[in-house]
Amino acid sequence: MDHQQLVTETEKSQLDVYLDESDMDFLCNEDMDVLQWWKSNNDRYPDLSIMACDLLSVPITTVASDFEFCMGSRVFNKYKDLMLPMDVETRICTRSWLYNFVSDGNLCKFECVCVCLYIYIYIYIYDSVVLITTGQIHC
Amino acid sequence: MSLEQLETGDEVDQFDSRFLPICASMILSNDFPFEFFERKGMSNFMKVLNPNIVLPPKDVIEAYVSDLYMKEKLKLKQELATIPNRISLTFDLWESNTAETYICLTAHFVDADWKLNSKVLNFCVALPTVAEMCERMVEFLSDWGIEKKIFSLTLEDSFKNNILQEQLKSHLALQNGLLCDGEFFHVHCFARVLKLIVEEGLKVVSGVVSKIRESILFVRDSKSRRQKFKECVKKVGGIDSSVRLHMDMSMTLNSTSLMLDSALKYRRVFESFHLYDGDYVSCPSAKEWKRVEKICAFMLPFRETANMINGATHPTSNLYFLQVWKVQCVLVDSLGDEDEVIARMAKRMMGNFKKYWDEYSVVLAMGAVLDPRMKLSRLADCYSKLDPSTCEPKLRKVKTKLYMLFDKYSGKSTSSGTQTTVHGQSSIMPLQKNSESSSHGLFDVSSYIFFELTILLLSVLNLFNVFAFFFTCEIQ
Repeated sequence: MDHQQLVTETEKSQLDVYLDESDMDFLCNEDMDVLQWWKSNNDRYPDLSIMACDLLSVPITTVASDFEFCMGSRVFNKYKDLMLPMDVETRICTRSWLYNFVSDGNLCKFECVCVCLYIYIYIYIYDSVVLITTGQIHC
Repeated sequence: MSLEQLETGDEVDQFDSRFLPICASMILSNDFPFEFFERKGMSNFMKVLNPNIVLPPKDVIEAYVSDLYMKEKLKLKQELATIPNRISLTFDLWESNTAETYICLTAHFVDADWKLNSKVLNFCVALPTVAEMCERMVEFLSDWGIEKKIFSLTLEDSFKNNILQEQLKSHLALQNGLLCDGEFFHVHCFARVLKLIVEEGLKVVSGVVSKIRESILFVRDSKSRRQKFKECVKKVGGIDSSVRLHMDMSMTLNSTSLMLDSALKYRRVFESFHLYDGDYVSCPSAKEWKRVEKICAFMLPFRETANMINGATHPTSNLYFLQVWKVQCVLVDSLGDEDEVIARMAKRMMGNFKKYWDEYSVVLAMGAVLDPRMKLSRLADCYSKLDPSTCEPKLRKVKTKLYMLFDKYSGKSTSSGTQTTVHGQSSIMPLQKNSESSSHGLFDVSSYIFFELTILLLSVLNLFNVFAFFFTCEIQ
C-alpha cells in the first residue's frame, strides 16, 4: 500500500515522504540498529536507503579500532620478522578481512588454553622464563 | 589417515594437512610470528601432547597465507563491485622501526547484509611526498575498481594531507566519480581534533593539574609514604580504595581526566595527608579541588567520545552527531561558568571546536536526519538548545544539502531502481552465502572440531602425566 502511495504521489520524492513521516521514539528504540531499519524499509525508499548507507558509513576518525589510540604517526615494531613490505600488507590485510582484527571467540579460547598450558609447562619443566615473551594473548 | 601414515613411518615429515588452516588462522588472528610453531617451546609442548605430531613448516604456512590473501582479495573486490552504495575511505600513515612510511587505506561500507564493514584495503610502503602518495592512492583505487564509488575520505588534519585530499578529489572529480563535485568528500579526523581541543583546555588549568600530578608522585615516591597514605585512607574512612591513583601519560587522550578523577576520589585523604606530612606541599586548596571537580564533569563527554571512537566497532555516523553535540553543549554551558578559569578554558576550547565543527558538521547532521528516531525535528531541538537564533539557518542548510545530495541518488531511480531490487532479491543471497562460507571456509569445520576435541582430550590426559612428572620432581 505504501508503495502504491509512492507511485501515485509522484511529485513527492522519497525524501519528502520520509521526512513527513512521524519520528520514532528515541528512548524506546535507544539501541536500534539504524542500518537494519533501512534494510527493512528498502522497498519503500529504494534510493534513499542507498544514500543512507553512504552517509551513515562516513567515519570521523582514522584510528583503527584494534590499534592503540595514540595520535600522530605510529610505530609498529611487531613485524620485525617480516622483511618485505609486501609480507606486511598480506598479513595486515588478511587479518583485517578474516578477523576484523578481533579473533573468533571460540578459537581464541582454545588458543589461550593452548598458549597458557604451553607457557606453564615450559616454565616448570624446562625452568625458563624467556618464553613468556613469545606470544601476546588477545582475548 | 595421516596418523596411520606417521605410525607406519612412511612419510615421517609429512604434516597433517588439516593442521595448516588452523595454524595459519591462529597465527593470523593472534598476530603471532610465522615461525611460532617452530619455536622450541611450542614444538616441545606439541610433542608432549602427541609425540608423533608434525606441524607444517614456516614457509608452508607463509605460502598458505599469501594464497589466502589472494583469494580473499578477489572476494572483497567482488563484494565492493556488487554493492549498490558507495564507499568511505580513511587514510593514515604508519612508521616502521626502519623509519619507512606506510600508507594504510581502509574502506568503510555497508555490505549486502546491511552491516557496517571496515576493511584494510592496502598497507604498503610509500615515500612520504604528496605526489607519490596521491599516485599510490589512485593506483589502489583503480586496482580495486572503486574509483567511481567513493563517497568520502577521512584523514588527519595536516598541511600535507590537505593537499593530498585536494589532489585526489580533483583527480576523482575529473573521472566524474564524486557526488556533487566532491562537496562531501573531505572529512577531518575528529580524534585528532578532539585531542587538540582537550590539550588547549588543559593548558589553562595546567596549574591545578600539575599540583595533582605532583601529589600523586609524592605519595608514590617511597614505601613509607605509601604506607602513611594507606593509614590516612583508613583514618578518613569511607573511601573506595579499589580505585587506584592514575598517572597521566601524554600519549592518550583520556589519561589526564582519569588522573583527576582518581585523585578526586581521594580528596579527603590528600587533605589529611597534608596535615600529617609537612613535606607534602602540593596539596590543592579547597577552591582548587572544586575546580578539579568541575574539570572532571566538564571532561566527561570528551571521555565518552574518545571511548566511542576507540571502541571495538565503528559506530554509524548518526551516533557521532549526538556525541559531538553533547561536547558542544558542555562547552556552551561552561562559557558562563562562575569560575573564571573554567570559563576561560571553555572559551579557548570553543575556538578550536568551532574551527573544525563549522566546516563539516553538515555531513554528520545529514547522517543524523537519516536516523528515523532523529529526523529534522530532533535536529532542530539540538540546534535550538545550543543557540536558538542560528537554529533556523542551520536547519535550512542541512535540508538544502540533503535535497541536493538526494537529487543525485534519485537521478538513478529508473536505472538503478531495478538494479537495487535485483540486488535486494537475488544478489544478496549468494553474497551472504559467500560471507558465511568465508568465515568458516578457512578451515573445514568438522575437521576443526575433531582437531580441537582431540587436542583437548590429549591435553587433559597428558596434563595428568605432566602433573605427575612435576610432583615426582618436587618430591625428589
